[in-house]
Amino acid sequence: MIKHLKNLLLTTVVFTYIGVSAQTDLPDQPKSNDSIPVIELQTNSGDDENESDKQEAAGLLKASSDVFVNAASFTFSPARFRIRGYESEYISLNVNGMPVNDLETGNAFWSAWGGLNDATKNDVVNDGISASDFSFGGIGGSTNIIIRASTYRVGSKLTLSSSNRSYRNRLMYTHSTGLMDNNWAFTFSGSRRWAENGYVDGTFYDAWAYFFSGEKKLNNKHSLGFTVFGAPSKRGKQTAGTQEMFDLTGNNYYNPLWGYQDGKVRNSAVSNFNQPMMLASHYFTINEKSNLNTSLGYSFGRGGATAITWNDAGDPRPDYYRYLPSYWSEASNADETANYNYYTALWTAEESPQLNWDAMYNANYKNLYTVENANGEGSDFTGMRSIYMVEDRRNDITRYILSSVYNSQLKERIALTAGFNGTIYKSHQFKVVDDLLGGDFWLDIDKFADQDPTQPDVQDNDINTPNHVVEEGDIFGYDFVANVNTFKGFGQTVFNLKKIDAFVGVELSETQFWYTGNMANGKFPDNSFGDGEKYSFFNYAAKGGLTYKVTGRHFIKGNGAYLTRAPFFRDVYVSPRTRNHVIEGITSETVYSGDINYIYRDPFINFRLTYYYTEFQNKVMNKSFYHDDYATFVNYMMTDVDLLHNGAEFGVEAKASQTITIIAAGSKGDYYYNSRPNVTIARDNNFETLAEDRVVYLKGYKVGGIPQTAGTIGVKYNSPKYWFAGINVNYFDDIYIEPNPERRTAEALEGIYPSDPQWDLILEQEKLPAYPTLDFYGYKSWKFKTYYLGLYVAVGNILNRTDIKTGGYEQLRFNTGYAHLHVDNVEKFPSKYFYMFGRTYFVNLAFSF
Amino acid sequence: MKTASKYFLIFGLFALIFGSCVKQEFDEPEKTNVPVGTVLTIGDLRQMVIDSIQNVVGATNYRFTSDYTVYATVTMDENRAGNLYKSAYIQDSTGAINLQFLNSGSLYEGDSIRLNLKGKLLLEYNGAYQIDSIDIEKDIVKIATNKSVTPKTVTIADLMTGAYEAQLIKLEDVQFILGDLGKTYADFESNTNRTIEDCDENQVLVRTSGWATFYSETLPSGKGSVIAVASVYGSDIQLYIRSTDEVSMDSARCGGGSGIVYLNKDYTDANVFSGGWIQKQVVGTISWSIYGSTNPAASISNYTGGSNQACENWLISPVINLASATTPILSFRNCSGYTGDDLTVWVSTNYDGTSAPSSATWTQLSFTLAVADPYWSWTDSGPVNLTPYKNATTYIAFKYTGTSSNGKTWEIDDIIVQEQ
Repeated sequence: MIKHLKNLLLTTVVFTYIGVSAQTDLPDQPKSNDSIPVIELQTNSGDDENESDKQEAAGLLKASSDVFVNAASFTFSPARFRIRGYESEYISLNVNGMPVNDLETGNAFWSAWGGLNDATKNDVVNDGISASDFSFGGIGGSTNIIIRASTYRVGSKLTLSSSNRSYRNRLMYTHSTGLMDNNWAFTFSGSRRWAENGYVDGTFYDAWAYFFSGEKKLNNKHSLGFTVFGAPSKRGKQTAGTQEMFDLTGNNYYNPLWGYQDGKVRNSAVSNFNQPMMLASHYFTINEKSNLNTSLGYSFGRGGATAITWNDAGDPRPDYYRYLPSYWSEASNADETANYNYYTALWTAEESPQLNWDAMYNANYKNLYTVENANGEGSDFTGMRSIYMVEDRRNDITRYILSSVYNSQLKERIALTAGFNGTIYKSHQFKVVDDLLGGDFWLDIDKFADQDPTQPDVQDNDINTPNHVVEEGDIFGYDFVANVNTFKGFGQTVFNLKKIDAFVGVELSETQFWYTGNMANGKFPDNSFGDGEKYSFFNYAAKGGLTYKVTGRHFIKGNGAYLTRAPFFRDVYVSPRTRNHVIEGITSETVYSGDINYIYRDPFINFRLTYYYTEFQNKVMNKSFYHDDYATFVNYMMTDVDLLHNGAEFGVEAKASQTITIIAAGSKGDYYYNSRPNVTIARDNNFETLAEDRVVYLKGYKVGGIPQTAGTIGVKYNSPKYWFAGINVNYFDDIYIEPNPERRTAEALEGIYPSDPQWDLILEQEKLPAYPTLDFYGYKSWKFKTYYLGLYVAVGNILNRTDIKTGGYEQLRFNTGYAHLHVDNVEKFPSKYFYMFGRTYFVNLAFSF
Repeated sequence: MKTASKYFLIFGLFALIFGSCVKQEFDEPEKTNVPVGTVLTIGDLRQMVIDSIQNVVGATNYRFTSDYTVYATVTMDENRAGNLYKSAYIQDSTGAINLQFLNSGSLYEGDSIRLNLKGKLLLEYNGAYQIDSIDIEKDIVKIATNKSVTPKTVTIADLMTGAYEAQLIKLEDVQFILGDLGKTYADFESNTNRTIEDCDENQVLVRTSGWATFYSETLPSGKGSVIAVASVYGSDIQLYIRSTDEVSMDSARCGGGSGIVYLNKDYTDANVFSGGWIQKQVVGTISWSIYGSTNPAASISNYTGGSNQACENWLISPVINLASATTPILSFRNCSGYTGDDLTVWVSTNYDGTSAPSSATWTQLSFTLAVADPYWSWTDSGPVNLTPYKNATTYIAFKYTGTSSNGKTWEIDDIIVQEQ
């Protein structure tokens, strides 16, 4: 009786956070959340819309059995929390054992899986430095999404969802046959997510997803599988804003990227992503102890986003710094005062200032222009030259991956994993004319390229086609390919002894990358076309962990890892849009990390207490931003960047009674820069570097944009009548604004004394106020005959607080020296912030049959 | 599941999917026409400046309140060489006028345009007639491109009458004055005036923007022609050059002289050492500085902290390449005050450009010294012949000495080494 009760309680405890699975008998289901939908992360495109498309993946989306990791993935994600502050490049993302992190940036992109929740719910998640049976993993853990057709739950499922976040509606349908008598298994999933207007004005959402997987069991040892999936999506973007913009419009979600065209809302920054992937897999069960899984993958497609661009015209963006009253606030004459009043009235009006599409069309309709020696072909071309235009900055990839993983239970207590994988990756980056906005053509010349009488074609982005006249669909501006190839081999042994569990693993890898230019740029005619020099890096990594089982309830676990990593292509090329040039002194990055854990489990309570310490050394960081005065991108490349992340985590889950569970989880971290990096600053349209080898006094500054302290306390009521509900109180603190490296240099402080208030204003790092949030969730399921219906409701930020800043960054544009003053020169380009959405809801109805 | 409800479900799903369109196609907005209204000529506009502004007490501008249009051709834009900023010049058969824009834009020389004046301001800025507050994208319609206007050939005397204000003109047989030779059209990021003259010594200013693409080109030294737009600023005529292709000055200069200049230091940039000049403080710590703001000159004095300091200071030029010179002549202006040693001028052909003066051989040169009384009598040095010192690495130096009991203050300016 007691044993029965104990089992029941244990089962309830384990499944509490994941949610009750179907009432049908599925004891050997992998720990997946059949009924709780994986809530989609706001893949916020909230970066400055002019930065290169940096999609973040904050933490793992998948449910883990660990209380803290679960809280971090779901509850903390609206606050931009990252576990241990690690960027997604330290998390290893795999599909069928095949690594799929992006090779150019290292990021684990979740957009390739948008809408494929059902298809990707079979997964294995390993947290932190841990043993893994499919990859060496990273210090941030590893995830393997298993898409083997025979592993899916047999049956069909139809899901309808409604939300007010990035998309409003979702429809998903999945059907899996399971392994049939003819030894075939098929799984199909399709979904549609859409919104005319998301939570933020001007953000529309238009996404489909499809997944098809087939498997043929040849015999008891061999199975072959084939999978194809894709998640094409188009989304209107939003961007961060300065506090002045939010204050004047009275709207913390003000979005300057859209405007009215003929009365309809049109967003100038639309991301358009479509990168399907195909895999052919071979599953080889060698014997009951060993198996070998091999996959060959091919992925291709488009990525990137549009942006508005202009030439020979005033800046059309409503948030251009000179269109804000603050630029005119130190008015010294009647004209300036008139401007101050004009812009104040503009920004405080009922309708906030947005893009004026109609005016842009009208300007283009009238702009008669003759191009002499058009395209270098000798004759003139006359037509309406667009002075405003929407360009599509594309990032199309082609990728081949081959991976093979061998697992074997060598002896009763020793398991071996070994594998290798190789990737050939190409990212083709170029610009295309998307919409001429009423004009006939766009002239592709760089008017701001420094004129040099010895280089007459310096304004041509393609010297083979001078005075390039481009129309919709034409490539212009820049065109290059980032080539990255990697090859890795790893091995790992896991020991499960009576008192001790241990694992040790090593990985060796070889990375090679190089630049291929498709356009000879007039500013760098000898250095932009063709293949560039190849850079190779040899890297190694080792990890190990030990769990000491003090008793059946108390555990002490320690893990450590040491790895070197090759730098990423995006970080080392000074300005690949115009030239093939790598910054001096690129080396591999070194990471060493360790954590020590105390774990306690009994039928009523389980908790984990952890201290972790990680150092990153010799990182290379590249920040890029669009500088209005130079009319080009400016790149900040820092070398010798060291970071230190350390802190404590805890997670507790306690059964207060048969029906009530209490959860608490939290983390207090300290992540900061631990060195004085060297920075090189270069303009895209000028060969001269603006600064070289400048020391950045960044040591001690905190890593910005994320909460370094986060905590949650939740109560959940589990009713035996097939429903549960819970409420969480969350708290976030230690959110810093990411620092601008240029402001922490001796040059920035030239001419300013420490007693001057400017000194502090320039140097200090802003910390955002701490804040609490309140969330609610509930679930009820019904079952009749073989049909199952589940309803899930979640409400986030119940108190509807719309005044919470979740993160931000200092603008890279910065005025040094008093010469440019309107007194507060630092304030001329103030920090930009993101605000947390107010009350949001998510309702999900799932029908399984 | 019952068949009927199954079909109902499928139908419902399809309806939902088709209804899920997120329309992202946009119709092009209708063209808004720029009205024409009453047509005026530029001659009419210029007359309106006289009638409605100059002849009306207290009037500073005239604002058009209904639709008026002027048809004209653009004679100078800001895009070709960056010599204008948010501005352009237009001309028709009756005259020319300057346009001032709210923003830089896509208007090019040769564009035949019509401009709607409603809401725009007509005004006069120190003698230059302007139409102000123009929005290129809203107010201007381009009718044709590449329509060229022939510049009128005039004399400087003609320009001085002011009758050609804002027009495209051509001057012939003119040259840059001697004092400007060796300089560039403009200083870096600073609007600069240079002077051209005809053979009757009539002068007119050439004004160039410090952001023009040709700002760093050296002025041509010969005599010839120049095409420019003539503007007015107070009592000065200022010419704006559209492109250095339209400056063709390579004939022999008026009054002879080749105009070849090897060294030119006039201190208008208020910097003693720009261009490569250095000083060597052989004795003491006395240093050269700039004196004066309207016509800066280099100045030195050993009177400091209430007393004289014994000193010897050499102000040495940058290297002067006289290897291919024929008869190079040095001249400068000087003046002095107080009592003490005279300034001396030296030349060397074996100085290395960086070491102490004692490391080289210097020969003293004679020149016309400023009289000691009255103080500050600016005197021309007279021609100092450097022919015996023709060398690829010639240096000249001004040596100043003072004692602990006395010392003069010396000033020098307009140092030129040129071909005779």
